[in-house]
Amino acid sequence: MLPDLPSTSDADALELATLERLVREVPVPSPDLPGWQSLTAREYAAAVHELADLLGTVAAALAAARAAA
Amino acid sequence: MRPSSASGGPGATGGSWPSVGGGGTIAVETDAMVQASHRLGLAQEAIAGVAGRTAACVSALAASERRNRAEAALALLRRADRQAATAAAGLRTAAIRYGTVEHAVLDGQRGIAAGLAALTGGTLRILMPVIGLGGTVIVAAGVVDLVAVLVVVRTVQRTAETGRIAPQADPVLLRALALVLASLDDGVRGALLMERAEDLVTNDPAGPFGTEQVGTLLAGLLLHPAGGPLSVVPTTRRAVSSPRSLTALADRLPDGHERAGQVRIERYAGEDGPRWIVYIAGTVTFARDSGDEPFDLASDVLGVAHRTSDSERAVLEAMRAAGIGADEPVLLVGHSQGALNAVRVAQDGGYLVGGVVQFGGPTGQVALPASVPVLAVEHDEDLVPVLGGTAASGAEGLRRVVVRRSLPDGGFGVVTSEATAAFPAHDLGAYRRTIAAAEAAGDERVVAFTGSIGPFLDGRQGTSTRWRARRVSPEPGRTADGGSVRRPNR
Repeated sequence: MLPDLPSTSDADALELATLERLVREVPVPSPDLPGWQSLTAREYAAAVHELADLLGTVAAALAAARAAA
Repeated sequence: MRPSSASGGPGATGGSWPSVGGGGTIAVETDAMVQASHRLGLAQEAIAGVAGRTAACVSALAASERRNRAEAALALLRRADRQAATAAAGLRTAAIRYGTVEHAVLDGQRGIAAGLAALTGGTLRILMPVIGLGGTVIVAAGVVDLVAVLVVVRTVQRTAETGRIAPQADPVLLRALALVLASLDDGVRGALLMERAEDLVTNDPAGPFGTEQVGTLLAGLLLHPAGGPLSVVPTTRRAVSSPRSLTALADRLPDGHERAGQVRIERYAGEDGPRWIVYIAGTVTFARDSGDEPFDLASDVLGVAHRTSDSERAVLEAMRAAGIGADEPVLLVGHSQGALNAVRVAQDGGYLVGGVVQFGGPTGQVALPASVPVLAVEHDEDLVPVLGGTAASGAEGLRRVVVRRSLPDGGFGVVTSEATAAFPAHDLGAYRRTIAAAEAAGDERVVAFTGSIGPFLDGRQGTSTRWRARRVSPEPGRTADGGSVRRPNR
């Protein structure tokens, strides 16, 4: 569960919350490569999944930073 | 390996995205790769932006647990940035490599077609003493009948798929036609027992019985005689800003049916002297008796045959009359026959050609010098580009950047000019939409080409002049539109 939103007096926390939102809004493309069932398509799908997971971890890290003192 | 249709670099499915190839004709559909690469690039830009903002935030944080965690997030963000960039670049590389492989496949197709043609010709020759001339003709007719049956079967299949009888817009038949045209000379040489091994792997339109000789013969026998006097006069002149994109170049191509004329020449003063852009219209009439119209079918055939056509002479005369110096950079832009003229002028005109942009021209077989950047836009369903035969291969072919697109429903169902109603994939409007999509997609080869002709696309002020060309004959002749009165000059 994510930490509660920061109070408006904590500017750093507000900025971290904004960054967290921006990370979650990164337009990660679909892992599907229409028409291709090749090694290229599988590698692409793996790369996209890994990128999405990485961004999820970043968002969690930013949320943790926001919650930290 | 092949998903649904075609291209040599980035490719096009469903028709909404064009594909880009390093040259000639291309058969792999790599547009999905290019689109994915483009989207990954957008994601990477967003990640880089957040990373920059996060770095600024981290530096403002006091040393604390919060800062440590934020620094950890920043490190991960930078890793994501690198990963997205690597994946995007990898996809672009894969698309280009697939295109290269496809070139090899196409070369193989051409070799097989040439071999079959030579084998057929040679077999007929060998059979002739046995079965006589009559028997040989019957066997040859049987071969033609077999091909006709295959065409009919394919047309029926395609009609069942699309609900429309339009073999002239079937990419499979068009590809086959290109192979046949490129193999005719092999068949004749085979019949004369002159075919050599190297003839099977190279396509030489200028060789014995090649498309150039055949075209010259056809034009001489069947079409309006060329080489007579021409009148080439300026009709309108106005101030313009130079175009800023490839799409703008397409927008400025003249409609040869307009009274203002078939050629548009723009002059832009530069620090090093003037630069010029020459826009050349396509075929105005396909009538066998084309009257005073030099942009006719005879010029199409002669252009493919690499013989000086009346329309090519008209373009060169307009360029001379406009004052283009031999050492002044010229960008040539053409559609259909205009594309062919652009390539021939670049090849033989004696001008300092800084680039060629062509839409739907039968020009793939022509290899221009490496110093001339060439971008060709072709539709899979367009008959005209295949009329020159198969495209140049090897390094020469790969120099030619080709934007390919498969049009939905073969281009039918979209408003076209009257002249292209039966061949909507050849319509200039369709080509304009394709190049606009290619520019929007941001393919690096299109971007690189645009950069190579950048000095012509700088938006500076200049003048634009339209030129009208017509044949001049001593006696009153029919005009190309069928009238008995010659069109007045303006």
